[in-house]
Amino acid sequence: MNSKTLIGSLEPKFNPFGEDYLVEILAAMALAWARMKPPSPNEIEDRITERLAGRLANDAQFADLPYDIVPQYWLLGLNGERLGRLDLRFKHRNSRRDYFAFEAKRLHVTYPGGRFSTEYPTYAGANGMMAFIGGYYSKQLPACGMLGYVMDNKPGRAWTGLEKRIEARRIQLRLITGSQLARSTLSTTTSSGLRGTYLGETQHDLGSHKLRLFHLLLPVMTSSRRHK
Amino acid sequence: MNRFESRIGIFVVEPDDLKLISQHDVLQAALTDRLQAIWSRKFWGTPRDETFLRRLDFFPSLSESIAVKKWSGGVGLQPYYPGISPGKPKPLEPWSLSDRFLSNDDDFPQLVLQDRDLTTLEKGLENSVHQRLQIRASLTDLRRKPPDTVFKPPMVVFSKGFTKCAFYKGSNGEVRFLDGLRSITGEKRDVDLLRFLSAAISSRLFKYISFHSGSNLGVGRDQIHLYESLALPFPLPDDELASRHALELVRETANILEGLERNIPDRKRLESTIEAMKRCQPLVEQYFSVTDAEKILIEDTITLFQPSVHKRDINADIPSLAFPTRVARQAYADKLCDVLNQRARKQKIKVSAEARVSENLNLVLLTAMFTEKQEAYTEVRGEDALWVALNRISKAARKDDSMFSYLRGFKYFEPDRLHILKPATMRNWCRTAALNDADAIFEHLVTENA
Repeated sequence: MNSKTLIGSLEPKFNPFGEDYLVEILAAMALAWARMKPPSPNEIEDRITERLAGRLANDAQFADLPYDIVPQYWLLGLNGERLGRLDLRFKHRNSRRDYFAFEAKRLHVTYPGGRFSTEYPTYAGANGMMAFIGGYYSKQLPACGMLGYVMDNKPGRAWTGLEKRIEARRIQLRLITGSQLARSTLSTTTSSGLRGTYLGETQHDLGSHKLRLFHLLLPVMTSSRRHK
Repeated sequence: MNRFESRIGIFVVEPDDLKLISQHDVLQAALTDRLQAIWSRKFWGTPRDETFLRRLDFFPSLSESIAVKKWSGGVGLQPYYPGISPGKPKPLEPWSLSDRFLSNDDDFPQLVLQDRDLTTLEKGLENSVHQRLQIRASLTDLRRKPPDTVFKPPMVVFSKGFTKCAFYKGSNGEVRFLDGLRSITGEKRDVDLLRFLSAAISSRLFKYISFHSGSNLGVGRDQIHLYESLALPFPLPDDELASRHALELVRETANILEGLERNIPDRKRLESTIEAMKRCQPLVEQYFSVTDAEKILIEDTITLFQPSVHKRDINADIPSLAFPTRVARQAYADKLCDVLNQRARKQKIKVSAEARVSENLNLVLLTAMFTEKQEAYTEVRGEDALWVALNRISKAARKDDSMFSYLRGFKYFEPDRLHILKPATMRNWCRTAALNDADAIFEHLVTENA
């Protein structure tokens, strides 16, 4: 049975389901991170994301949700030309329609030569948040998300840094008046029991529609610290 | 063809036979080197099956694990038929005709191979006769002579379609076999893992994966290509996606196989093997973290879909087209309600189901009710007028196009209930269908709320 072949509608009071199941996805994502082998300091972003997607897809709770996860999802033009690559795409399992997407960035990175970079500009830049604001990555999606892998396990500092960076670029980021990086209403559910995980959201006016952009900061802890 | 139309030569196309593959999915698959899988998984795979298979794609493949373990192995030897076989023959020496040989016949031992199962290479070659021209194989030359590493135990030997598979611990040198078989050979320190691999390849899980992933198995010949078998998932116990109890599961499975390696009398061997396979199934599934819903997909594929392929007799029973029994209909309804109730946010609304069945019209009408009280599944006799109307709707929804007849059925919401009308075939009313239908209903209702 295809969901598109269903006709008619239930009266709202008999519809047992919610408006969206983003909280379940975000909670599953945070949980998968906690269960995953911590990334090494030099592990590249794509590899971390691939492993996180694998952990999530193999999580029994996520398997109960009717969504499918596609890592490294290519965005293609009409003639098949490659326009960009989304780190994680969630699709409705039955219809394969798009539901949610994540773009991932490493934060607080120490490069092999010893140079340290916060990577806040990258996070809020053209290949980060701006990719959603430009419209291409968020096409037909009412909500999207940014994943920040905080490589030095200082998510509080990363949160403050991103708050400032996003505020400084609020015009380019088309932030809705009054919107700023703020703890998400979903954060209590999502981060319960997951030490150091931050969940926030910003609201953006894309002209065609308003975009709800989640920010999930995931701290990289060493194995020994996790087991304390 | 369904069981009604087979005699008049009309192909009946049911709604779920129509699979959509977006241009994007094809291009994405090409860019990630998974183009073949996108086609083969559509033949029999439902959306649930595809998700399950995509989950397994995250595991390292068998070839990756073979590389990590530095295991060897390969395809067996090819006899040389004088005057027919192309290419230059390779001398059999320094192999000997007295070398031990494993036949690929109906007596192939499952799960564990013992010395008593072996014959000599001489006998193996003597029994190799060119099928069409009835020419005997040479006893001095071979057409294809793989390296000794292919034949050196400990090893797992399996057939192309995974219909045969056995572990051989061995201790007295190489065991030769023909190219209908393949081996994976390792070091003595890995015997337990190789025993586990033998159990995994023999498992229903691997039969399920190869049925949906192989380019031949679900549609053509009873075999999968070498590259397809090597692409099957097989994480090593220390892989981060393997079960937390992976090592214990490997040990426990190996113990079961070791029991079979002891000298069990011939008369008890088959019974012991079947018993061992049964005990290994849940251990293999646990190793791959197979969920309860995924177990349903495996069960339906093995019992309904796989036996429905390659029927020589058009009048033979086709399990996927069989009329669903009362037990099967209830299993469908219970699973549908169970999944929907689990996902409900408003706990006071419960989903229950009742059905009306018409054997004459080959239709089942199931009504899912969204109410405050959960009721047990019931079946009621539909009024004659209702069936007349449903038959009319069913015919109106059907599109006949020369040799093809497209059945459509319908799914229609009223304020507090959903009616599902589908042809009465097992493929529509099995638990796999219930899982997929629950997903479709959920998606429709969540989208409606949004």
